[in-house]
Amino acid sequence: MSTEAVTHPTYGNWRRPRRPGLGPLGLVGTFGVFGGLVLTLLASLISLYAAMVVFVPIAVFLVPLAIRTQDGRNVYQLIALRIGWRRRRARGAHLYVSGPLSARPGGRFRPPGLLNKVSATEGRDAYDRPFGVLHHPNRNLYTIVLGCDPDGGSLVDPDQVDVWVALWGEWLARLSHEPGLRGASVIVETAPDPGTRLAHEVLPRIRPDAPAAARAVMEEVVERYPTASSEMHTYVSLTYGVPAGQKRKKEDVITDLAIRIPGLLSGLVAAGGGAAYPLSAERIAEVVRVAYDPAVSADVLNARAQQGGTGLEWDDAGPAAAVETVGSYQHDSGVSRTWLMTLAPRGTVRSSVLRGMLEAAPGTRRKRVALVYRPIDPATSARIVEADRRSAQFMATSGRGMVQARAASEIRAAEQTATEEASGAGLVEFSLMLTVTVDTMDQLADASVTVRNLTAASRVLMRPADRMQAAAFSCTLPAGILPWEQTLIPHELQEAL
Amino acid sequence: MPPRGWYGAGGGRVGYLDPPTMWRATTVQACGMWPFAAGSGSPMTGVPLGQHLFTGATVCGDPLNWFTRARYISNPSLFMLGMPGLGKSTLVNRMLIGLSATGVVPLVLGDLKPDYADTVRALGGQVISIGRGRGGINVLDPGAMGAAAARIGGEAGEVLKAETHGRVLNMVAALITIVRGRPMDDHEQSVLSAVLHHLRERTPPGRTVLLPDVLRVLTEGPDRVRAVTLDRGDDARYRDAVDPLHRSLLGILDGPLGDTFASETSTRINPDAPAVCIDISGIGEADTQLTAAAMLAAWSDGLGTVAASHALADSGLEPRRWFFTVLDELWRPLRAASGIVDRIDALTRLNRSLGLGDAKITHTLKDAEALSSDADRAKARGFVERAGMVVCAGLPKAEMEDLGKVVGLSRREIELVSSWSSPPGWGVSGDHGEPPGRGRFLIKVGGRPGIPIKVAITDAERRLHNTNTRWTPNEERVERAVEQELSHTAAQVARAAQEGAYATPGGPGGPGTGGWPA
Repeated sequence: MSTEAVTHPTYGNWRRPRRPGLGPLGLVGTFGVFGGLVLTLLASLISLYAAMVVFVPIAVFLVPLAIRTQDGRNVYQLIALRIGWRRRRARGAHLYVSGPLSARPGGRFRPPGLLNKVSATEGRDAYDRPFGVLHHPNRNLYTIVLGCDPDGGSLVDPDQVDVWVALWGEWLARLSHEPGLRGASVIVETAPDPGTRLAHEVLPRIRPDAPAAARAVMEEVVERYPTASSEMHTYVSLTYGVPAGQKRKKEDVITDLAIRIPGLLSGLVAAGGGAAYPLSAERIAEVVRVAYDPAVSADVLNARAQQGGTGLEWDDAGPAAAVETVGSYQHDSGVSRTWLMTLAPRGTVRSSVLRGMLEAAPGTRRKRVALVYRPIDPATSARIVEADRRSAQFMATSGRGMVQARAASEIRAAEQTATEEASGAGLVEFSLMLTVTVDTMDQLADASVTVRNLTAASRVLMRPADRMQAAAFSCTLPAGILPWEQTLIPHELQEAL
Repeated sequence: MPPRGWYGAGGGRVGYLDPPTMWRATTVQACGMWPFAAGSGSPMTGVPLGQHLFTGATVCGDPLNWFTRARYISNPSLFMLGMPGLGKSTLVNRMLIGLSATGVVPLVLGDLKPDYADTVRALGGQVISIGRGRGGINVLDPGAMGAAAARIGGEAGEVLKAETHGRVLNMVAALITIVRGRPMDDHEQSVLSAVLHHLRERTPPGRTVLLPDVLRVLTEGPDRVRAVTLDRGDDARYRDAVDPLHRSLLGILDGPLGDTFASETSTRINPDAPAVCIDISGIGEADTQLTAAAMLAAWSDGLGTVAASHALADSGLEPRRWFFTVLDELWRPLRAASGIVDRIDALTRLNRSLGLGDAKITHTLKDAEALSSDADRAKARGFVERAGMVVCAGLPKAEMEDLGKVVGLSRREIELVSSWSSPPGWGVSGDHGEPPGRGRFLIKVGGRPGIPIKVAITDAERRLHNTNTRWTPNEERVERAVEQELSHTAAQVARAAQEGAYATPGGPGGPGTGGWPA
């Protein structure tokens, strides 16, 4: 290795959005505390007993608000989740049956849960390629899916990687300027190669009059070459909303999206995404179908190689049957478990931090890593950044005497963020989800250990999405479901709690 | 249809989600969680070559498929570099076999080892031997192109005739360049061109022109030839102008190249063969002039066959066939004489690149450095620059640095490939140590990151390359090494004896060479 000192950029300085209010209480809790104190004081004017009568229920109400898990969920949220799960199980809603023999209208195999109202249409982009558009009617969102084949950073010089990463940042910054964009997710899916690709590449092209020796060698190659390789697919799904109060026709929205696709693609290519292309509606349906039923992945490839396509429609992309349990989700031929990120990598990391997590993991049938992004529009981000700066300054100067180290670093971080924002960077909220699919229930334990190792290597902390496996599973599909939109209380209010 | 799933048992209704914790960062920081850090895999278009070194995925590729189907490269050519003995010919053989299975015709033009003759034989192809007493090439024979021009006729035929003329002229000029060791002058080229035109008009169809005929015409000095020498009716001026050319041609006929190039072509390339190999392994290693001349003649002849086939296909007389030419040991002819670079340049540019993939193979870029003039060096580098695919087997680090200047290699790629050129250990354990880089290649296309592969050979190929010491236990290699060593020592002894110097102790085969397990 060369002895010259090279500085490589590190990344970090991500923070959880600050909750307003006192400490872990949140806004509601803080109001509750002050209101409670006032009420208790007023009651104490009557008698001490009255004060106790007022104080105890308020305290009982407030304490669960103040007790929070590592990722900031309070006791009420945990309880709500459990109650919801119990009720769903009691009603048999954790089961899903589709197809002609089920009660589903039309007898189709529709994708379940969050995806069941989604409908797929198709548009044509500037190069006349078909691209699929998924429409989520309840919130009136439209999703397009792009695919790309990154080369990875294995044989590339660090400075080239740094350029790519910087351009990925540009692409993210661009998202906040995309009109109507609600969220984006990048999904990296790995799976063992079904081993039919080589045969499809080689055998159909052998000419009938080919020399016998050439035919023998090629057939031996197809037979003998290991199929122990893995395939990796990268999908980028972008979900657009229609601004409130506007009535827009579906065709207009699709035309609008078609115009944006080339620019989005070129940005992906520049960010090291390799060749990028939009996915047709049929391809999106295939991806979802294979995710729900991993056993058909080879058949899908065969059909694509021999007939040029599967002809699969979105309405048939779901599983025939699925069972949700506390810690797993069984669907057709696979059993899956999904994890959600609680802590982003602490400290500073290199751009290769996710590499171990993205690469194919042995012992899994399919693995999907989904990075979800919620762009924040420029006006809001400027406000947030300034507010963070002010609160950091306030925290640092409010303590008497010595400034705490933590407060000082908080100031530095807030200042750096403000500088970056002022010089043109956007602000984005991101999170990470990971779904692992295996063949049987008993392999799930091993897969969980694998995932624990992977997350440790990537320095992120994740928790299994217990009691909501089905919903979390559909969030890691390239179907444009935004996890923060699926909460009981809208996420704008959520932050206040 | 309700959102979040149907009501009722078996409806798959999902509850509300506790979303994953959202973290906030500026985009210049959030991009550090780079989702493209792991590579997606490897190209799967073309001939299956081997496994990706890091991911184990099968890698397929060859210049023709990458040009026509995958569109990775802008011209269907491959340039391969690597130290000897690392399996370059194995990879090319695999491409030949794979392409021949898809109906492409492999043309191995000038096989020195022979590395490819067995493969071509196995494919049912034609192997043509060239060398002293084995067979010759008549460089004036218009070959397949002439035949095609006659068949096509009309305007297209005339165009092809002119092209044929250019090719023949280029080849004769190359021979003269080799004999002289320097390029030909321009006025000599025009004289030669006039002579060839004169001959072509005078020769009855069905008869080919030979080099002695050219000498005859020069001696006669018909008006047409005289006109280009500006002799102004003065015979002495004419002689002054053509004598150097005359001398050089005599040098070809009576010199080391004479019996190979002065007579009729012994075996013509069969344009309908499934594969063709021109085997020049009968020419000795030391015979640089003849080797270079034979290689150039083979290239010219082979590329002429390709051009003829395409001309016939254009005119609808024959089905379209694609070709894949292999030009091994590219630098041999380059080093034979200065000015040959231009000839090769002309040769490779003269071909109609449509439907012709080519592989140029050499050891190192240093071969280009050895050329005498800067212009030649630049042109030789141009071969590498213009290649669509560059494949490196193990090369020393310094070489890789040089190559990096031409094709753009990252530091990591340089480290990787130079690690393949390191020698094996001494192998005390008794099993023969393999060089670490055997069968490993880095495929570079444009500015993309390289694809490191390991070629896995099949049993069928192993049987085919029986002569190939590369994949068989190394007793044969040792034997061959001993033979070389002995002949080398013998030559030294002979030379020393001639010079009357001290004879080396331990003559050939004597006890001094140690007890080799021969």
